[in-house]
Amino acid sequence: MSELEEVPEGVDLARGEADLAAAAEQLRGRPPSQRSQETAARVLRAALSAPRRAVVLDTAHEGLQVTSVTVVALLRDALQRTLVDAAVRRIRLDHDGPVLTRVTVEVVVRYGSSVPDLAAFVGRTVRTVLLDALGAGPSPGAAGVVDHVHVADVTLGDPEQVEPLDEDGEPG
Amino acid sequence: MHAVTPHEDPSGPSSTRSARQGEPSAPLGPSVSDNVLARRAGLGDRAAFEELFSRLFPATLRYATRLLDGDERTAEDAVQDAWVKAWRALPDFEGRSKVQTWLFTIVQREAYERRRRVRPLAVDDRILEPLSRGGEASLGSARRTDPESEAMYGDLWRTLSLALGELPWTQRAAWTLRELEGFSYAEIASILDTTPTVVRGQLHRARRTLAIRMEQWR
Repeated sequence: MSELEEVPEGVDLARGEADLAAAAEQLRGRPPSQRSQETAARVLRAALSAPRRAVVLDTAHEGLQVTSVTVVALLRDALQRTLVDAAVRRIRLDHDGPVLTRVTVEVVVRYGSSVPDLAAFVGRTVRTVLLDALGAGPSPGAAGVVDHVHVADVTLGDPEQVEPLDEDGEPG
Repeated sequence: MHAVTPHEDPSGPSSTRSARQGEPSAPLGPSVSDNVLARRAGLGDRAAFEELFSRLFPATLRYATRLLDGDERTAEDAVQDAWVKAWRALPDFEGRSKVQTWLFTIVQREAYERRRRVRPLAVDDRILEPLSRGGEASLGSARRTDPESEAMYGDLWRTLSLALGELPWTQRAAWTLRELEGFSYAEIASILDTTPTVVRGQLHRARRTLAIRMEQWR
């Protein structure tokens, strides 16, 4: 732990603090440079081009494989488009090598909704997506995959807007 | 839990009041929080990521540039790598802290790595960083010693930018996060991997040193 810097003789600390406050205010108010706006487009492109960690999954169609990222994106899109009074929080895929074995969908539900009905709807949607992505039939087709709907939370507000932070009250 | 069976239609008669098809995706307007955008981006929603990026990118670049003595090119590289890492890691982000805190932690590490490669960083927080080349000359131009310079009073921020470059790394980071980006002590502690008590001390020392420099370099 370091010591505070001694105030040199002749230095008016109060005036320095006032200047510091004014300078900080100026820095906060400075607009982004033209260069930063040009950089933004490049950085966004680079980020969205970066591949996410994924596994390649077999399908019932010989010679056709899909990535786990694709399956998650298809599930998210289908559920996000159709769910009302509920929102997807997470989607987890378990696999045995290239064979998808289990899909777990974590949802947040608005208070007053029918949780069993909603879970059944999510399950049906998952199965439809898996049929499209993997094809029918036993492993590695959709029939070999177990799905699990986990209702992670029930909220009075809009489930789409609920964050763990809101209700748990602790960072982490 | 049940095995998947084919040929079931989610829009069939057993659909409930809790679900219906054909609705558009939830909007991404200003009412949607950053953490909700992060959750959706983690699930592969690129539009959500773009909205999150448009909100937070300017601050991340500003922060990295301050940490790296105004070296825009190096700061841009650091921030680009940070956002690439963020996109790849978002599926694992659980949302138990603010996404800003999580993101600034990544930016901080990227900036630190680059700074360390250029020149060793003082472990001792008492050691002030030497001004970068040209800093003294810039400093001279920032001093207000005559009426003309007095008219430059509106450019106090230039003096502050130079003074910030003299602060030890942790003090500079803590001051920037607190005074320019508005993070709480706890959030700064999380970003800098330390405790709020240490952050409080670093900020106190940073403010004292900066105030002295602002007065010395008038």
